[in-house]
Amino acid sequence: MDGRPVLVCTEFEDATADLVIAELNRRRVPVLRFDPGRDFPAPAVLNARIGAGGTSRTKSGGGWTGRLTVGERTADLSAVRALYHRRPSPYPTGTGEQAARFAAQENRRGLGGVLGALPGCLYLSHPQAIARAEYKPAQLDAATRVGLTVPDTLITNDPMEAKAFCAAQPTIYKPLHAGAYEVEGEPAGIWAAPVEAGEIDGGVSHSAHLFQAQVPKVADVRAVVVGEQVFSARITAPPGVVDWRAEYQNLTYEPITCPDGIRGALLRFLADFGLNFGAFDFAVTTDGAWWFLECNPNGQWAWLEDAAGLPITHAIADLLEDGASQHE
Amino acid sequence: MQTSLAGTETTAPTPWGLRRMAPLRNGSPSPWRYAGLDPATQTGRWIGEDGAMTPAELGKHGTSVNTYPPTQVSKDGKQDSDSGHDATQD
Repeated sequence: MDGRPVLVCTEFEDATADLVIAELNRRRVPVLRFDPGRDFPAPAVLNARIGAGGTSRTKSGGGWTGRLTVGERTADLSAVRALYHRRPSPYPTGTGEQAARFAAQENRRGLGGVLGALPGCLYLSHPQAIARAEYKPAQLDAATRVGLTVPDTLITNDPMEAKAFCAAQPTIYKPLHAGAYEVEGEPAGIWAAPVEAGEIDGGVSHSAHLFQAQVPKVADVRAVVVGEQVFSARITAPPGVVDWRAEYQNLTYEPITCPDGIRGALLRFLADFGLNFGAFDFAVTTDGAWWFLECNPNGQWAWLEDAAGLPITHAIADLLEDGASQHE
Repeated sequence: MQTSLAGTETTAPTPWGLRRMAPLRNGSPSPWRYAGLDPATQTGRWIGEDGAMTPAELGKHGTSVNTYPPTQVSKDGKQDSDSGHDATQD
Protein backbone atom coordinates (compact mmCIF):
# COMPACT_ATOMS: atom_id res chain seq x y z
CA MET A 1 0.00 0.00 0.00
CA ASP A 2 1.15 3.54 -0.76
CA GLY A 3 1.74 5.25 2.57
CA ARG A 4 2.61 8.65 1.14
CA PRO A 5 0.33 11.30 2.66
CA VAL A 6 -1.86 13.94 1.06
CA LEU A 7 -1.54 17.37 2.70
CA VAL A 8 -4.76 19.37 2.86
CA CYS A 9 -4.18 23.07 3.56
CA THR A 10 -7.44 24.66 4.61
CA GLU A 11 -9.32 26.45 7.36
CA PHE A 12 -11.05 24.37 10.01
CA GLU A 13 -14.61 25.12 8.93
CA ASP A 14 -14.22 23.83 5.40
CA ALA A 15 -16.97 21.28 4.79
CA THR A 16 -15.83 20.93 1.17
CA ALA A 17 -12.43 19.69 2.32
CA ASP A 18 -14.28 17.33 4.69
CA LEU A 19 -15.90 15.63 1.69
CA VAL A 20 -12.58 15.06 -0.05
CA ILE A 21 -10.81 13.90 3.13
CA ALA A 22 -13.65 11.47 3.90
CA GLU A 23 -13.25 9.99 0.43
CA LEU A 24 -9.46 9.72 0.89
CA ASN A 25 -10.11 8.03 4.25
CA ARG A 26 -12.35 5.49 2.51
CA ARG A 27 -9.49 4.77 0.13
CA ARG A 28 -7.05 4.51 3.05
CA VAL A 29 -4.91 7.34 1.73
CA PRO A 30 -3.11 9.02 4.67
CA VAL A 31 -4.14 12.66 5.14
CA LEU A 32 -2.55 15.46 7.13
CA ARG A 33 -4.91 18.40 7.37
CA PHE A 34 -3.75 21.75 8.70
CA ASP A 35 -4.15 25.48 8.31
CA PRO A 36 -0.71 27.03 7.68
CA GLY A 37 -1.90 30.52 8.62
CA ARG A 38 -3.24 29.37 12.01
CA ASP A 39 -1.43 26.16 12.94
CA PHE A 40 2.09 27.55 12.55
CA PRO A 41 4.36 28.09 14.46
CA ALA A 42 2.19 26.22 16.98
CA PRO A 43 1.08 23.49 17.11
CA ALA A 44 2.71 22.64 13.76
CA VAL A 45 6.47 21.98 13.74
CA LEU A 46 8.54 22.20 10.55
CA ASN A 47 11.95 20.63 9.98
CA ALA A 48 12.97 20.98 6.34
CA ARG A 49 16.45 20.37 4.96
CA ILE A 50 18.16 20.59 1.60
CA GLY A 51 21.79 20.57 0.50
CA ALA A 52 24.72 18.41 -0.49
CA GLY A 53 25.67 17.40 3.04
CA GLY A 54 25.07 14.11 4.76
CA THR A 55 21.77 15.05 6.32
CA SER A 56 19.65 14.43 3.27
CA ARG A 57 18.11 11.04 2.88
CA THR A 58 18.63 11.34 -0.84
CA LYS A 59 21.64 12.63 -2.77
CA SER A 60 21.82 16.23 -3.86
CA GLY A 61 19.13 17.02 -6.37
CA GLY A 62 16.62 15.06 -4.35
CA GLY A 63 14.89 18.17 -3.09
CA TRP A 64 13.55 19.05 0.33
CA THR A 65 13.55 16.41 3.04
CA GLY A 66 12.41 16.49 6.63
CA ARG A 67 9.15 16.51 8.49
CA LEU A 68 6.01 18.47 9.13
CA THR A 69 4.32 17.47 12.37
CA VAL A 70 0.84 18.59 13.37
CA GLY A 71 -0.60 16.99 16.48
CA GLU A 72 -0.14 13.26 16.26
CA ARG A 73 0.47 13.25 12.52
CA THR A 74 3.78 13.64 10.74
CA ALA A 75 4.41 13.99 7.03
CA ASP A 76 7.74 13.12 5.40
CA LEU A 77 8.34 16.18 3.21
CA SER A 78 10.15 14.11 0.57
CA ALA A 79 7.17 11.77 0.23
CA VAL A 80 4.09 14.01 0.00
CA ARG A 81 2.04 12.63 -2.87
CA ALA A 82 -0.23 15.64 -3.27
CA LEU A 83 -1.11 18.97 -1.68
CA TYR A 84 -4.72 20.17 -1.79
CA HIS A 85 -4.61 23.96 -1.42
CA ARG A 86 -8.25 24.64 -0.54
CA ARG A 87 -9.04 27.55 1.78
CA PRO A 88 -6.04 28.17 4.04
CA SER A 89 -6.28 31.21 6.29
CA PRO A 90 -3.92 34.03 5.32
CA TYR A 91 -0.71 34.34 7.30
CA PRO A 92 -1.57 36.93 9.95
CA THR A 93 0.08 40.24 9.15
CA GLY A 94 -0.29 41.89 12.55
CA THR A 95 -1.31 45.50 12.84
CA GLY A 96 1.92 47.27 12.08
CA GLU A 97 3.81 45.60 14.91
CA GLN A 98 7.28 44.81 13.60
CA ALA A 99 7.68 41.42 15.30
CA ALA A 100 4.32 40.25 13.94
CA ARG A 101 5.11 41.49 10.44
CA PHE A 102 8.48 39.78 10.55
CA ALA A 103 6.96 36.49 11.70
CA ALA A 104 4.26 36.66 9.03
CA GLN A 105 6.78 37.15 6.23
CA GLU A 106 9.14 34.48 7.52
CA ASN A 107 6.26 32.02 7.96
CA ARG A 108 4.79 32.69 4.55
CA ARG A 109 8.11 32.40 2.77
CA GLY A 110 9.51 29.67 5.02
CA LEU A 111 6.62 27.28 5.62
CA GLY A 112 4.69 28.43 2.55
CA GLY A 113 7.85 28.33 0.48
CA VAL A 114 8.69 24.75 1.49
CA LEU A 115 5.09 23.66 0.93
CA GLY A 116 5.33 25.15 -2.56
CA ALA A 117 8.56 23.31 -3.40
CA LEU A 118 7.91 19.72 -2.33
CA PRO A 119 9.64 17.14 -4.53
CA GLY A 120 7.40 14.96 -6.68
CA CYS A 121 4.24 16.50 -5.23
CA LEU A 122 1.07 17.06 -7.24
CA TYR A 123 -0.48 20.44 -6.45
CA LEU A 124 -4.21 21.03 -6.59
CA SER A 125 -3.30 23.66 -7.40
CA HIS A 126 0.01 25.40 -6.70
CA PRO A 127 -0.78 28.51 -4.61
CA GLN A 128 1.33 30.77 -6.79
CA ALA A 129 -0.38 29.46 -9.93
CA ILE A 130 -3.74 30.17 -8.29
CA ALA A 131 -2.62 33.67 -7.32
CA ARG A 132 -1.52 34.46 -10.87
CA ALA A 133 -4.72 33.07 -12.35
CA GLU A 134 -6.92 35.14 -10.01
CA TYR A 135 -6.20 38.18 -12.19
CA LYS A 136 -9.07 38.67 -14.64
CA PRO A 137 -6.95 40.52 -17.22
CA ALA A 138 -4.59 37.52 -17.38
CA GLN A 139 -7.61 35.19 -17.66
CA LEU A 140 -9.15 37.14 -20.53
CA ASP A 141 -5.83 37.15 -22.37
CA ALA A 142 -5.30 33.41 -21.86
CA ALA A 143 -8.91 32.64 -22.83
CA THR A 144 -8.45 34.55 -26.07
CA ARG A 145 -5.23 32.72 -26.86
CA VAL A 146 -6.64 29.22 -26.24
CA GLY A 147 -9.55 29.93 -28.58
CA LEU A 148 -12.42 30.73 -26.24
CA THR A 149 -14.87 33.47 -27.20
CA VAL A 150 -14.45 36.52 -24.98
CA PRO A 151 -16.90 39.48 -24.83
CA ASP A 152 -15.45 42.90 -25.66
CA THR A 153 -13.94 44.20 -22.44
CA LEU A 154 -12.64 47.59 -21.30
CA ILE A 155 -10.58 48.21 -18.17
CA THR A 156 -10.17 51.91 -17.55
CA ASN A 157 -10.15 54.81 -15.12
CA ASP A 158 -11.16 57.21 -17.92
CA PRO A 159 -14.82 58.28 -17.55
CA MET A 160 -15.09 59.40 -21.18
CA GLU A 161 -13.85 56.06 -22.52
CA ALA A 162 -16.16 54.23 -20.13
CA LYS A 163 -19.15 56.31 -21.24
CA ALA A 164 -18.39 55.73 -24.93
CA PHE A 165 -17.99 51.98 -24.35
CA CYS A 166 -21.31 51.74 -22.48
CA ALA A 167 -23.04 53.70 -25.26
CA ALA A 168 -21.69 51.39 -27.97
CA GLN A 169 -23.54 48.25 -26.84
CA PRO A 170 -25.45 46.81 -23.87
CA THR A 171 -22.78 46.70 -21.16
CA ILE A 172 -22.26 45.27 -17.71
CA TYR A 173 -19.92 46.37 -14.92
CA LYS A 174 -18.23 43.88 -12.62
CA PRO A 175 -15.41 44.25 -10.10
CA LEU A 176 -11.98 42.79 -10.82
CA HIS A 177 -11.83 41.15 -7.40
CA ALA A 178 -14.65 39.80 -5.25
CA GLY A 179 -13.45 40.79 -1.81
CA ALA A 180 -15.25 40.39 1.50
CA TYR A 181 -17.04 43.67 2.02
CA GLU A 182 -19.74 44.87 4.37
CA VAL A 183 -22.58 47.37 4.25
CA GLU A 184 -23.61 48.42 7.76
CA GLY A 185 -22.21 45.23 9.20
CA GLU A 186 -23.93 42.97 6.69
CA PRO A 187 -21.92 40.90 4.17
CA ALA A 188 -22.06 42.72 0.85
CA GLY A 189 -20.82 42.46 -2.68
CA ILE A 190 -21.17 43.78 -6.19
CA TRP A 191 -22.96 41.61 -8.72
CA ALA A 192 -22.24 41.84 -12.42
CA ALA A 193 -25.05 44.13 -13.57
CA PRO A 194 -26.02 46.28 -16.59
CA VAL A 195 -24.79 49.84 -16.79
CA GLU A 196 -26.13 52.67 -18.97
CA ALA A 197 -23.83 55.34 -20.41
CA GLY A 198 -25.76 57.96 -18.44
CA GLU A 199 -24.74 56.36 -15.16
CA ILE A 200 -21.04 56.94 -15.79
CA ASP A 201 -19.47 59.89 -14.01
CA GLY A 202 -16.13 61.13 -12.67
CA GLY A 203 -16.11 58.44 -9.99
CA VAL A 204 -14.71 56.10 -12.64
CA SER A 205 -11.43 58.03 -12.38
CA HIS A 206 -10.92 56.96 -8.76
CA SER A 207 -9.98 53.34 -9.52
CA ALA A 208 -9.67 50.79 -12.31
CA HIS A 209 -13.07 49.63 -13.59
CA LEU A 210 -14.00 46.65 -15.76
CA PHE A 211 -16.78 47.08 -18.33
CA GLN A 212 -17.84 44.26 -20.62
CA ALA A 213 -20.26 43.85 -23.50
CA GLN A 214 -23.35 42.10 -22.16
CA VAL A 215 -23.80 38.66 -23.69
CA PRO A 216 -27.47 38.07 -24.71
CA LYS A 217 -27.48 34.79 -22.83
CA VAL A 218 -30.25 32.25 -22.35
CA ALA A 219 -28.40 30.35 -19.62
CA ASP A 220 -25.10 30.08 -17.79
CA VAL A 221 -22.67 27.19 -17.56
CA ARG A 222 -20.23 26.40 -14.81
CA ALA A 223 -17.59 23.97 -16.03
CA VAL A 224 -15.46 22.47 -13.27
CA VAL A 225 -12.20 20.99 -14.55
CA VAL A 226 -10.31 18.51 -12.36
CA GLY A 227 -7.10 17.35 -13.98
CA GLU A 228 -8.33 16.43 -17.44
CA GLN A 229 -11.93 15.72 -16.46
CA VAL A 230 -14.57 18.35 -17.20
CA PHE A 231 -17.89 18.52 -15.31
CA SER A 232 -20.41 20.98 -16.69
CA ALA A 233 -23.76 22.17 -15.44
CA ARG A 234 -26.24 24.43 -17.19
CA ILE A 235 -27.54 26.97 -14.69
CA THR A 236 -30.84 28.66 -15.42
CA ALA A 237 -31.78 31.76 -13.47
CA PRO A 238 -35.08 33.68 -13.52
CA PRO A 239 -35.52 35.96 -16.59
CA GLY A 240 -33.56 39.19 -16.40
CA VAL A 241 -31.01 37.93 -13.86
CA VAL A 242 -27.51 38.75 -15.12
CA ASP A 243 -25.49 37.33 -12.21
CA TRP A 244 -26.83 33.99 -11.01
CA ARG A 245 -25.05 34.30 -7.69
CA ALA A 246 -27.66 36.92 -6.75
CA GLU A 247 -30.50 34.38 -7.06
CA TYR A 248 -29.28 31.23 -5.36
CA GLN A 249 -32.69 30.29 -4.12
CA ASN A 250 -34.18 30.33 -7.64
CA LEU A 251 -31.74 28.45 -9.85
CA THR A 252 -32.15 25.19 -11.74
CA TYR A 253 -29.22 22.95 -12.61
CA GLU A 254 -28.79 20.41 -15.36
CA PRO A 255 -25.64 18.38 -16.09
CA ILE A 256 -24.53 18.85 -19.70
CA THR A 257 -21.69 17.66 -21.90
CA CYS A 258 -18.90 20.11 -22.58
CA PRO A 259 -18.31 20.43 -26.36
CA ASP A 260 -14.96 18.92 -27.41
CA GLY A 261 -13.63 22.21 -28.72
CA ILE A 262 -14.35 23.98 -25.44
CA ARG A 263 -12.90 21.07 -23.44
CA GLY A 264 -9.61 21.30 -25.29
CA ALA A 265 -9.49 25.04 -24.75
CA LEU A 266 -10.13 24.65 -21.01
CA LEU A 267 -7.26 22.18 -20.67
CA ARG A 268 -4.94 24.53 -22.58
CA PHE A 269 -6.07 27.39 -20.33
CA LEU A 270 -5.21 25.42 -17.18
CA ALA A 271 -1.90 24.27 -18.65
CA ASP A 272 -1.07 27.88 -19.48
CA PHE A 273 -1.43 28.82 -15.80
CA GLY A 274 -0.05 25.56 -14.41
CA LEU A 275 -3.37 24.75 -12.71
CA ASN A 276 -4.89 21.32 -12.04
CA PHE A 277 -8.33 22.76 -11.27
CA GLY A 278 -10.55 25.51 -12.60
CA ALA A 279 -14.20 26.51 -12.17
CA PHE A 280 -15.13 28.31 -15.39
CA ASP A 281 -18.17 30.51 -15.91
CA PHE A 282 -19.73 30.84 -19.35
CA ALA A 283 -22.76 32.63 -20.77
CA VAL A 284 -24.65 30.57 -23.38
CA THR A 285 -26.52 32.23 -26.24
CA THR A 286 -29.46 30.89 -28.31
CA ASP A 287 -27.09 29.58 -31.00
CA GLY A 288 -25.41 27.40 -28.36
CA ALA A 289 -22.18 29.43 -28.25
CA TRP A 290 -20.25 29.45 -24.95
CA TRP A 291 -18.88 32.91 -24.05
CA PHE A 292 -16.02 32.92 -21.53
CA LEU A 293 -16.78 35.12 -18.53
CA GLU A 294 -14.16 34.09 -15.99
CA CYS A 295 -12.26 31.27 -14.33
CA ASN A 296 -12.18 30.76 -10.58
CA PRO A 297 -8.86 28.94 -10.14
CA ASN A 298 -9.88 27.78 -6.66
CA GLY A 299 -13.65 28.09 -7.08
CA GLN A 300 -16.45 26.39 -5.16
CA TRP A 301 -17.79 23.11 -6.47
CA ALA A 302 -19.41 21.02 -3.74
CA TRP A 303 -22.81 22.67 -4.01
CA LEU A 304 -22.75 21.97 -7.76
CA GLU A 305 -21.92 18.30 -7.25
CA ASP A 306 -25.07 18.00 -5.18
CA ALA A 307 -27.30 20.21 -7.33
CA ALA A 308 -26.34 18.76 -10.72
CA GLY A 309 -25.19 15.27 -9.79
CA LEU A 310 -21.57 15.73 -10.89
CA PRO A 311 -19.04 13.32 -9.27
CA ILE A 312 -16.43 15.98 -8.52
CA THR A 313 -15.38 14.69 -5.07
CA HIS A 314 -14.29 11.40 -6.61
CA ALA A 315 -12.40 13.15 -9.39
CA ILE A 316 -10.51 15.30 -6.90
CA ALA A 317 -9.76 12.28 -4.71
CA ASP A 318 -8.55 10.39 -7.81
CA LEU A 319 -6.13 13.16 -8.68
CA LEU A 320 -4.81 13.49 -5.11
CA GLU A 321 -4.52 9.72 -4.67
CA ASP A 322 -2.64 9.27 -7.95
CA GLY A 323 -0.25 12.12 -7.11
CA ALA A 324 2.34 13.28 -9.58
CA SER A 325 3.05 9.85 -11.05
CA GLN A 326 0.57 10.15 -13.88
CA HIS A 327 1.14 13.80 -14.54
CA GLU A 328 4.88 14.22 -14.81
CA MET B 1 8.21 59.77 3.03
CA GLN B 2 5.88 61.17 5.65
CA THR B 3 3.95 64.35 5.02
CA SER B 4 1.58 66.10 7.32
CA LEU B 5 -2.05 65.45 6.49
CA ALA B 6 -3.32 68.16 8.80
CA GLY B 7 -5.97 70.22 7.09
CA THR B 8 -6.13 68.00 4.00
CA GLU B 9 -8.78 65.54 2.84
CA THR B 10 -7.68 62.11 4.08
CA THR B 11 -10.70 60.12 2.90
CA ALA B 12 -10.07 58.25 -0.34
CA PRO B 13 -12.46 59.33 -3.08
CA THR B 14 -15.16 56.73 -3.68
CA PRO B 15 -14.69 54.81 -6.93
CA TRP B 16 -17.77 54.63 -9.16
CA GLY B 17 -18.02 50.83 -8.89
CA LEU B 18 -18.15 50.86 -5.10
CA ARG B 19 -21.54 52.60 -5.21
CA ARG B 20 -22.96 49.35 -6.62
CA MET B 21 -22.20 47.46 -3.46
CA ALA B 22 -25.24 45.96 -1.79
CA PRO B 23 -25.96 43.37 0.92
CA LEU B 24 -25.78 39.86 -0.53
CA ARG B 25 -28.95 38.46 1.09
CA ASN B 26 -28.84 35.44 -1.20
CA GLY B 27 -28.66 32.61 1.28
CA SER B 28 -30.30 31.30 4.39
CA PRO B 29 -28.55 30.65 7.69
CA SER B 30 -26.92 27.26 8.00
CA PRO B 31 -28.52 24.94 10.56
CA TRP B 32 -25.06 23.45 11.17
CA ARG B 33 -22.66 24.54 13.84
CA TYR B 34 -18.99 23.68 13.65
CA ALA B 35 -17.67 21.78 16.66
CA GLY B 36 -14.00 21.15 15.98
CA LEU B 37 -11.91 18.71 14.02
CA ASP B 38 -12.01 14.98 14.64
CA PRO B 39 -8.31 14.09 14.96
CA ALA B 40 -8.95 10.53 13.75
CA THR B 41 -10.69 11.45 10.50
CA GLN B 42 -9.24 14.98 10.01
CA THR B 43 -12.75 16.15 9.14
CA GLY B 44 -14.99 18.63 10.94
CA ARG B 45 -17.69 17.74 13.42
CA TRP B 46 -20.97 19.48 12.64
CA ILE B 47 -23.87 19.81 15.05
CA GLY B 48 -27.33 19.97 13.51
CA GLU B 49 -30.51 21.56 14.81
CA ASP B 50 -31.35 18.34 16.60
CA GLY B 51 -28.07 18.52 18.50
CA ALA B 52 -26.68 15.44 16.78
CA MET B 53 -23.04 15.56 15.70
CA THR B 54 -22.23 14.30 12.22
CA PRO B 55 -19.54 14.60 9.57
CA ALA B 56 -20.23 16.65 6.46
CA GLU B 57 -22.12 14.71 3.82
CA LEU B 58 -22.95 15.82 0.36
CA GLY B 59 -26.37 17.41 0.18
CA LYS B 60 -27.09 16.70 3.81
CA HIS B 61 -24.72 18.08 6.34
CA GLY B 62 -23.77 21.61 5.59
CA THR B 63 -22.96 21.03 1.96
CA SER B 64 -26.13 21.97 0.13
CA VAL B 65 -26.74 25.15 -1.79
CA ASN B 66 -28.13 26.83 1.30
CA THR B 67 -25.11 26.24 3.47
CA TYR B 68 -22.02 26.86 1.44
CA PRO B 69 -22.55 27.86 -2.16
CA PRO B 70 -20.05 30.29 -3.58
CA THR B 71 -20.24 33.91 -2.54
CA GLN B 72 -22.89 33.37 0.04
CA VAL B 73 -23.11 33.90 3.73
CA SER B 74 -22.25 30.69 5.47
CA LYS B 75 -21.74 29.25 8.89
CA ASP B 76 -20.71 32.03 11.23
CA GLY B 77 -21.56 34.79 8.79
CA LYS B 78 -18.38 34.54 6.74
CA GLN B 79 -18.67 34.55 2.98
CA ASP B 80 -17.62 31.35 1.30
CA SER B 81 -16.40 32.99 -1.84
CA ASP B 82 -15.09 31.60 -5.09
CA SER B 83 -11.56 32.67 -4.32
CA GLY B 84 -9.17 32.32 -1.42
CA HIS B 85 -6.54 34.76 -0.21
CA ASP B 86 -3.91 33.85 -2.76
CA ALA B 87 -4.16 36.91 -4.96
CA THR B 88 -4.09 39.22 -1.94
CA GLN B 89 -0.84 37.71 -0.63
CA ASP B 90 1.12 37.11 -3.81
